[in-house]
Amino acid sequence: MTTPTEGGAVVEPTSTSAAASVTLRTSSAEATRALGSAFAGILCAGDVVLVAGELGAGKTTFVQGVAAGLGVADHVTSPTFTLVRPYACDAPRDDRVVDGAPVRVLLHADLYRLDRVAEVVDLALGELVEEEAVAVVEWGDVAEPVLGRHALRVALRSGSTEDERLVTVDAEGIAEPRRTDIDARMRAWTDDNRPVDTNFPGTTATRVR
Amino acid sequence: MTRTTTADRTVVLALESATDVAGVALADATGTLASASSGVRRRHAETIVPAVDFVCRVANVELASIRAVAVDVGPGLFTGLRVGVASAKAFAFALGVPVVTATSLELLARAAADAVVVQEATVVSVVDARRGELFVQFFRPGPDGVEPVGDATRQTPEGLAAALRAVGEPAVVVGDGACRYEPVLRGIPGTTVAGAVLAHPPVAGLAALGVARADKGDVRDGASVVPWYLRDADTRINWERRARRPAPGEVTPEAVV
Repeated sequence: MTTPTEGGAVVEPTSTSAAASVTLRTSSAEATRALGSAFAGILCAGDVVLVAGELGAGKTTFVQGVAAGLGVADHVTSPTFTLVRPYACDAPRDDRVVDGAPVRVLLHADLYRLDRVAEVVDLALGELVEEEAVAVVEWGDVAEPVLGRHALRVALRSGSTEDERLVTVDAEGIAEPRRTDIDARMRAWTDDNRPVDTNFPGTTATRVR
Repeated sequence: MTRTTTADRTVVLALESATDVAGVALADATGTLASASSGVRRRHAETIVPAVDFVCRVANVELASIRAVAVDVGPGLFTGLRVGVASAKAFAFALGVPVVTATSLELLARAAADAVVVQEATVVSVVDARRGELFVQFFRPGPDGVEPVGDATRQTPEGLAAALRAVGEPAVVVGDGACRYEPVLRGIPGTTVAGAVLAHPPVAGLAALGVARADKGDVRDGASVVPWYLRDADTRINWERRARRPAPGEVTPEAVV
């Protein structure tokens, strides 16, 4: 079901109570980054985010936005060859709404090079996030049996134009009342709602594909 | 340096790091000689080796009198298990002695069974597996301390609560997972959730078990010891169901910008 709302970016509204997911449309890499930044506002220490999407779907672009939203000053690149890169979140943005424990560390992981579930287990992300951290895991959907319970899920896929993306945020693994709050806040996001300063620190305006 | 013979080797060195509390102990046939533990999280690697030096000095034990190294192989913290098992292998190799293994779940059950209050009850060991999961094993008191009732499993707190409701006799639940999810497990008829005293596998218990097993010859070559993660870790990631993951080195349309 695809029903674009007037002026908004929500393309697949589900039922208002206990909604499982919301899908948002972004018109550019900058908008995908802005959505990531807004998504960062719903994160609490201890969260694991599984980011799905094929090559070129904009996973790293989205994570760059998350990093900016969490106040990461360093340049965020794909950790395909490092598996996990930690970033200090020492400059939270003023507009960030903190739900629970503040996030001090962003763990950016990428499972692309891994072949065995044991290698995902070895990353010990479930333990690392307990140290005031969140883990954002590219290709994380392939390791749901290890990382899936209580995880947030983000899926990116191509839209109708080259730069357009459809981004689904699924908070099904999150307990109420936080799930409803996440859903409401992601629905409220629109492509037009991006921060005035789109020149996010530490990120580059690379084209997605 | 005096030459050490096998007869001089009477002491077991125990290394415990499966949960947030890391510990080291020395024991011989007379009991615990010295022990040290630290609950400072994520400092297992920094704790273990200096603690070995500390307990040796306290007990006035030379490393050359160690006959075996006992280690908790888990399940538990991945990082902790790697530190513990790697340290045990290193000490065993350097000292030329075998390794005795024990599981975190049996160590917790033995600690509970040693307490008078839990005799004649089912003992349930519950280690926090993180991400809302628990490592669980049921035990009954037996001639050898405790006997497992079924295999260790990984389950949710709600699943454990359902299993406890079905036990049908008094049950004592121990371990850091029991402490963490005490609100979920509270109020189940016949079930008692132990407190923090029984939250972590006691390293002195590991050392005592190490002596008993070494006496029986229940030892292994350190090279064969691996952590027991209790995960479906042998499975391959199912990349095949993802249509567009390329083979290594394959150039994909997406890669050509």
